[in-house]
Formats: sequence, C-alpha cells, structure tokens
Amino acid sequence: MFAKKTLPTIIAFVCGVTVVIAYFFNIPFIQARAQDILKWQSVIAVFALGLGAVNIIRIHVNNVQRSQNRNLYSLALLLTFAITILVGVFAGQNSDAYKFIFDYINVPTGSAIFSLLAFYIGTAAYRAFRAKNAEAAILLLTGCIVMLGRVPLGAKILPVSVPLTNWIMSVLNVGGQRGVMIAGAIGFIAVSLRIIVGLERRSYGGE
Amino acid sequence: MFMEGRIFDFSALAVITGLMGIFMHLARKGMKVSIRPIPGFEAIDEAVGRAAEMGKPLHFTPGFGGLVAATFAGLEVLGHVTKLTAKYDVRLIVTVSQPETFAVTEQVMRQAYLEAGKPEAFKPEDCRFISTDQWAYASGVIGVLFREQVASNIMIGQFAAEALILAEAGNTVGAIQIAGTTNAYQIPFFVVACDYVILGDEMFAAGAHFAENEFHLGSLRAEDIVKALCIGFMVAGALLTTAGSVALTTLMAK
Repeated sequence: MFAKKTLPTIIAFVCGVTVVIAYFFNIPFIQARAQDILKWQSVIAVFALGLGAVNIIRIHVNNVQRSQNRNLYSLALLLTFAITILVGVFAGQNSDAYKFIFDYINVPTGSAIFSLLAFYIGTAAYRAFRAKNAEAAILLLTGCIVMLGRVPLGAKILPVSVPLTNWIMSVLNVGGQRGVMIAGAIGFIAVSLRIIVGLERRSYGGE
Repeated sequence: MFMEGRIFDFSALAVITGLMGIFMHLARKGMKVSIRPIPGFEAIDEAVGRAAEMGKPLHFTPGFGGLVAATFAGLEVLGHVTKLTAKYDVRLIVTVSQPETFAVTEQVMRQAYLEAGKPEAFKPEDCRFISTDQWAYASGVIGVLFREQVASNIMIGQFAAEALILAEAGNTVGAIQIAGTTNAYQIPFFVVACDYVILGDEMFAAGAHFAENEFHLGSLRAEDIVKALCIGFMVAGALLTTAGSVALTTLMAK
C-alpha cells in the first residue's frame, strides 16, 4: 500500500511543489532542484519508452504466431522495428543508412497521413454543411461567408465577404476560443493541484 | 525574491488554491454541489451498450498528449468506461501515444477491472502503445479502428492535428463517437465528425460526474467561482482600458 499509493503521492507533492516554487521564486537551491526534477522526468520517460517497445513487440509477435490475417502487417512492423534499431545502434544516428530511413521512409509516410487531413476536412464539411436545423444553417452560412472571404475569387463574387470574414474570425471565433482556453486553463490548474496534493489517485491505482 | 512579473500570477494561484481548499472542505462537510448533465458523459452508457449489442469492441484513446491535465481527465473517463465494459463483457481496446501515459493507462485499466470484480478480464495486449510520432500514432489508431471494426470510439484527452483524421476514420467504420479536448482549434473538427462532444473544461468534471467524489465536486465549485472572477476582471479591464486607465494591466504585469 505504501509503495503503491503513499510513496507516489509524496513524490508527486515534493516534485510539484518544488517546480511551482521555482517558477515563482528566485531561490537558487530550489531552481537547481527543479532542473534536476525536469531531467529525471526525461529519464523516466525513456524507461517508459522501453515498456512501450516491449508492448509493441509482444502484441505483434502474438499476431504473427496466431497467423491471423493481420500477420503480414505485424511482420512488416517487426522487421522495420528491428532494422531501424540495428541501424541506429550499430551505424549510428548520423549514418547515411539511418538518415535514409528517416528522410525517405519516415518523413514521407508521415506526410502522407497528414495529407489525409485535406480530404477529411472535405468529407466532414460535407456532412456538417447540411442545414438540418437552425444551428446547422448558421454554421453553413458562416462557413460559406468565411470560404468566400478567404479566396481571391470570393472577394470578386461578394466583396463584403472579406470584411465580414475578418470580423467573424477576429471577434466571434477568437472570443469563443479564448473562452474555451481560459476555462480549460482553470481546469488544468485544478487538476494539477489535485495531483500535487494527492487527490487525483486514479493514476496511482486508487479510486 | 519573486521572479520578475510573477507576483500577480502567484497571488492568483494562491487565491485559486485557497478557494479549492475551502470548497473541498465544505463539500466534505456535506455542502450540496449539483452539476448539470453533460450529454457526452451521459452517452458513454449508450456507447458501451451499443458495443455489447453488436458484439464488437469499444476503442478508447486519451490522445496524443503526455501526462498533462487533459490526459488525466481522459484517464478518469477511462476508469469509468473500463468498469462498464467489464460489467457487460465488452472488449475494450485502448491506444496510447506517449510511453509515460501508456504505463499509467495500463495501471488505470488494471485497477478498474479489479474494482469491477473481473481482474482476469484485463488483457495487456488490448492496452496498446502505438508511437510517439504524431502521424504514426494517427495511422496506428486508424488501423485499429478499421481492423477491429469497433462499435464505439471514445477520444477524450489532448489532441492536435490528428483529431479529425481519427474522428473521420471512426465515422467511416460507423462507430458511435464521443470526443473531448481542451484544444480550442480541434473542438470544431470533433463537433462536425463526432456524435457527442465534451467541450473544453467540461472534461475536467468527469470525476465529479461519474464518482460524485466530494473533492472533485468542491473543486468544480471553486473553478466556477474562479471563472466568474475572470469574467469580472475582463469586464473591469475592458471598461478601464476604454476609460484610458492602465491600472489593471499594470497590476497584472507585476
């Protein structure tokens, strides 16, 4: 019980209070300890990454062993996983082989997934822009004005769309976003304080 | 002794902490704190029920963030979802993007299965670390949604540009979707692509909503009072600035 619940609460309290004090007060000893804590955080994250790697290997080795339909994907993942680690460890992260993996495999595949966003915005907008009720109709109207105001052709078709778009974006949009941000920040502070004083116990395995 | 420009910030934190302490104490003493129903939280029963009826899994992700407050709010919801899925024998698949979040997520699931009286139902392979890379995480989650043909998809936590990609993938497989984030830029994407959206700070009410924990209820009341104070400051600031006074901005810059 002590190691599982009380000790993590004490560690969270000491680390949290130290970092908070270091943020507000110019006390060299506390500043140095806060820097140490931030370094420990990175070290702990590296250990956790090891746990994550073990999880990935376990799941995909199981898939391969069970010979399910997905075993080819799992096999590809395990192979690329092993190759990347071997190249990184033995040839180094500055080697041509490692750079090749990063520049010609990792970056393009990441960009390909990111590019899906353009299509998904189109499909999501198609569904959202159906005037089924008053709110959807307002969204449709606002969306049309903003789309017209954001493209050069729109300004030719409906010149008033440009100042209207600027007003929608800088007044209505920013107002709403700041409301969400301020309320979110207050919630962040509340959760953080509860963690520091040990009242957010679920993550330690408590109720 | 104070860091330059942080006296007001410290005073504000002291006030928030004080208010939270007072209201948590009052809530423990029996002060009635009522919270309005939040449709996104209410819909979780429906999402679990749908998965049970269809005999398909439920997918949950606490997002792309590390151990930040939004992720903790997501994990609070995960605890409740895990207990429900354990109760109705629904397979729960959780995908995580950050290693430190993965370790905590696994612990939250294990504990929730234990509390539900079914510790043996927890399968470590259903709590999946995907990748710390944003797009690898997105493609990994898309893969899980499509391959497992999930009946319900719950995304509550910290999300960035991958939000719409995940939500649209969930929509494509026909899953009922509940999403929540404090990232103001991603909320519109969730609104158009999901069935229920937990807006911004509503997600921090999870503990109070599900467990009716007195600390959470007291904290929620304190948050509401702080919000009212913020609105007061904004109105006063607007009026004073319009009148040509810089008193409030000078005070806040101290």
